[in-house]
Amino acid sequence: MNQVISVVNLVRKYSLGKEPLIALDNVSISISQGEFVSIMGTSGSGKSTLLNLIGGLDRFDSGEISVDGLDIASLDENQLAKYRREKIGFIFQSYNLVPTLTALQNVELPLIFSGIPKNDRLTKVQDMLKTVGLQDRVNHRPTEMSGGEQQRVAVARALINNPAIILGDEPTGNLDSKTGEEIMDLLTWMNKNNGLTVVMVTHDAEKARYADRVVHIKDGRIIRGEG
Amino acid sequence: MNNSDLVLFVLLNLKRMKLKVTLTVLGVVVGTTAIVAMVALGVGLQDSLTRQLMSIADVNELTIVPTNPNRGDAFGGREKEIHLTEKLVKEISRIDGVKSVVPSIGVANTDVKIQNHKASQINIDGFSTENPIAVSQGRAPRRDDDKTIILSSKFGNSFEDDHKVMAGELVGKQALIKVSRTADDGSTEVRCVRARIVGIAKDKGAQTDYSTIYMPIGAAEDLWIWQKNTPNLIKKEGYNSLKVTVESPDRADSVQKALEAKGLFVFSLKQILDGFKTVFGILQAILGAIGAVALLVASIGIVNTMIMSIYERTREIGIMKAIGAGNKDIIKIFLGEAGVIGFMGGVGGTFLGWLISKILGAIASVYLKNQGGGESPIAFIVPAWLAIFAIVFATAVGLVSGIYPALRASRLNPLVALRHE
Repeated sequence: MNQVISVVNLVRKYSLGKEPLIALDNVSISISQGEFVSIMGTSGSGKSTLLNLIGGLDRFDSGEISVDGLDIASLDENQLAKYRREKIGFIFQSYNLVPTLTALQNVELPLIFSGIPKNDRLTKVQDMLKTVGLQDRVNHRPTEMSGGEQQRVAVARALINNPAIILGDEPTGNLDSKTGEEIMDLLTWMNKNNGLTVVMVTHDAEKARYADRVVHIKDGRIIRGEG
Repeated sequence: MNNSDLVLFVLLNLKRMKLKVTLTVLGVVVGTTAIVAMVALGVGLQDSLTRQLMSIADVNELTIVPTNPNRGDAFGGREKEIHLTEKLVKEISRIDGVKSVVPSIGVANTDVKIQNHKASQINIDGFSTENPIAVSQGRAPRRDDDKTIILSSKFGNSFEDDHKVMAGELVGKQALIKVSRTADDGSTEVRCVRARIVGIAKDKGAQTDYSTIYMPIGAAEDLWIWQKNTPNLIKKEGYNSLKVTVESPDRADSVQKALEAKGLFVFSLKQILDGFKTVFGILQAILGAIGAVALLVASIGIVNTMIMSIYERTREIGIMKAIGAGNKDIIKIFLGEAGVIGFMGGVGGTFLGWLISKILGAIASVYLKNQGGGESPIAFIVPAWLAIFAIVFATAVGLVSGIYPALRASRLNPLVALRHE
């Protein structure tokens, strides 16, 4: 299978006081096209840091990340924004929807930043909301929706730009187990039907089991499943 | 992000912070109102003074004098004098764009008797039939119509008897004009001339309206030479001044240059008006700057509002960056919000400034009318350029105020912003 994410000897340090904190210590991992990978670890293990670095939200100290042939370290701010816009779809634990916008407008946002004209956007967004089962919630604001519904909006927003990779940072962490499973089913379905690569961070072994591969990370090092 | 989306996005963002935006816009409104009202006062003053000046003088006219009145030393020393001779008059009349050249002839200390009304201390003013006096009643004199005169509009007020005679009643009457001079032996000699009044000049709004007789240039010149009692006066000393009329106001500049090239000293209304423009340009700039202080305060308000809104929307900025908004998109959004605040304030302030100008102008004219004055010199005028300038300026102030907050927002680290609560 094609390798879509390749991380080599990645190091990320934080300077907290005098002692530098090493969040990632020589991490290497490769993920194939269409693979569903769960990254497991306790809090502070560095799993979210790894996800944020792959998603281009943060800078790293040394090593290499290459996604879909792009060398992330070499990208400037604008290119990183373009990278996040075109290649990556983020799903967060706390949904991170814009509270003043409706479901439709939230899903529309990435298309707006891509400069896609209004007429082309509307049907696309409506189709996507239908796909995640929210056709009746189109004009609701986040405060008018349940957690599960909000996370579905977030999934729709992550998918709307046809990204190569979905990055989920504890996507079910704020949901009860039933709605959590619904979101996991949705992600699995996207992974199986559309061939999307999914990388998900979780500390919930139950949810990690949905993945093709589970990577364990501890104290900034991968201890199992680097592939 | 394309422009129509940007506009919608900006308006949506402003709408959700209605109260804050309204207050900030009000600040800009006050500043813009101050600028518009202040400059409108300056423009209005310029306009009313210019109009008053135009009513007593003519943009088509240039006046040539023998010496430069602006030079010469403190002891009355004079530069060389250029004699305004008949030969010069002919030369000038050949300049392209010149319609007529008339020497100004003034005969002072004249007594006039019309029927049994007497007037003294009257001045005779010569005019050329090529460039006739505008009349309100009667007619303009014909060519070489030596024995006819025109009276100034308020001539009736000059009679010594208490009858206030309307000048109009005098048209068609005979006037006896007595010019006096001091003879060589010191005695006073008098020369009498009879002439028929054919018309009444239009009101010029000047002192000369009260006591002037307009007489064809030839006849006036005769009287003048006789009064001066100097043979060959014109050849020796030349005329006091020449009045040059140009074919159209836009020729005034080129004619003036041609005359100055001959070394002549020229006065024109246009020159005075140009000077006016400079003075009033400065006045308007000062008045505008006073108003701009209020706008400066408003701009601090915009900066404050924008920074507050960045604090409140930090997480949202993080979200936008995470889903792919570029720094330029963030800058555009915040600059847009600040610009629209400036624009709205500019439109509101221009309207309010216009309204206040109208009200103050009306109050001033009512007040001056009650004081018995004529047309109010205190006028407020809001020309189109002022309205456009005010709106553009307020928008620019908004945009400039938005630069720092916008850059600040765009430089937020997405991860840090996402964790912000």
